[in-house]
Amino acid sequence: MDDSDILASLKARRRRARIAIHLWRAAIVLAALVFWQAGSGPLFNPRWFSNPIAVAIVLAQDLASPAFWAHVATTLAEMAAGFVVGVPLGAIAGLAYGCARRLGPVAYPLVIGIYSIPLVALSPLFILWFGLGIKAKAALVAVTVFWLIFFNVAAGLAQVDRELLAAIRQLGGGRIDAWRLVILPSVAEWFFAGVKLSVPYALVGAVVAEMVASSDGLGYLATRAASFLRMDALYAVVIVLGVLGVLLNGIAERIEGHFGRWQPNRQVRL
Amino acid sequence: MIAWTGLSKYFLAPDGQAIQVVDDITLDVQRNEFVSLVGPSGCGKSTLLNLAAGLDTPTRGTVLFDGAALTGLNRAVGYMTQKDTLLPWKTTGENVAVPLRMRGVPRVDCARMVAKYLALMGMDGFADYYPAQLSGGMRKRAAIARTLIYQPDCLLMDEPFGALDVQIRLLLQRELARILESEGGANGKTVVFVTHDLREAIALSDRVVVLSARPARIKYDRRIPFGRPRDPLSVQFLPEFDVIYKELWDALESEVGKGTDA
Repeated sequence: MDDSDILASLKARRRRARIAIHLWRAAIVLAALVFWQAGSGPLFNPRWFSNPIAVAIVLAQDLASPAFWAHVATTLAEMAAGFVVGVPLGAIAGLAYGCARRLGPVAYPLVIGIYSIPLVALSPLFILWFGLGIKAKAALVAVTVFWLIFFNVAAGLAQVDRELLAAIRQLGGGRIDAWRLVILPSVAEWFFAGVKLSVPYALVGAVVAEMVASSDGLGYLATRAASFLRMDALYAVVIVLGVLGVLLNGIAERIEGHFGRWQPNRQVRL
Repeated sequence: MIAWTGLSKYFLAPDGQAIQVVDDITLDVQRNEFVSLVGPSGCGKSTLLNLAAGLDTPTRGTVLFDGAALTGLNRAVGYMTQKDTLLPWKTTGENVAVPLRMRGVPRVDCARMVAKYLALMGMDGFADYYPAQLSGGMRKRAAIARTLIYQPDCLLMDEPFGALDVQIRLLLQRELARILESEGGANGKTVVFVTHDLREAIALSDRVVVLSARPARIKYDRRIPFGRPRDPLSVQFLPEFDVIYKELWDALESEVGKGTDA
């Protein structure tokens, strides 16, 4: 066996491993669908559980209808608006909290107290403040995202390597150098982890807010389907939400990966 | 060049007790001298370096640098801590350039200097690697390059080769000696080198100081008569080397394992 053969066989092995993952995934989904279809009737009441074929038909109709996509767009717009507000505010507040050595311990119980308020409880309040439109939902997403980013950034600041800071000072660096070379890059890692974590929570926030009071968005569709006992339509929305979650997570992972090129687990060691 | 005078240092332990790590040390390192500090683990060697770098302040006594008492950070020294402090998010080349960039050296000149110092450390072609992609030996080389590039007259090195395997260690000792002798030139380099490897200390130094177990006192101070330039590997085969080794070991032996966390 010469080098090219070895390389080819290593590549083939990796390819087989990747195919195996896809096959397993497909097999699990298929098994669940078969169980659902076959069990709907004999095992559980089709009135509440519907069945995959019925759901697929509704889903196909949904995907073909511009009105459905408008609802998807509404939910995504609420998420995006919430992100645009929540991420920078969370990052700034996290940095401020982490930097304020004296204020930090004073504020800690207050922060935890406010953080502990269930967001669903705030939802009616936001509706009063911001009305029934996109603003109230975006506000709920923003608050959700704010806390995740806040705690991640504050924790990241606490974890900054003191030895690296000392080294930069020793090598002739000032305050700005310390921030530029050490603090911000090491907090960035935590920040992006927070952003990634925020994506599914933001989706949940938007949908929950829509369920409380709304006339569009995927949360509204789900509530409407449930109130008409249209289980097939409800499951179709749930599936779309799941797929959205996977897609958005993929995007977040891409972004995080781009900024984490230096990290050891993303590289081949020499 | 560096003089610790009547120096004592206490730390507050977690249980509220004051722990003395350095006890009345007076030690004067001359310009261009290579002095090794050896002693049992945890005896306060690193504390002495921290004090000389101005990262810590003495409880009693003073540290004189170039005749003046240190107040605050001492940026005239190049300090290599035990753990290499390369920035993980910067490539090797960017890391080595850091001290120059912070001093406002233009990018073009930086690139030239970085190439020169990486070559000096035998690291051509590694400029674009991130620290996590380098072996331990390579990281040490990069850290040394980063310290040498801004040409401090005085180097403080805390067990720079401690965690490396024997072959790499001997190789790096040889390179360090070669570089200091060539780099030093007319103005020379002063080095304070902390190690617990007696052979390394003798092979590299002009003078070896044995410290006692905590709190550190000067136990023994020995001049090493091998001239320069010297090859730290071949001097170890001289009959005189073993004599010195025996002498220093006798001083060190009684201190090893004496009520420390060794």
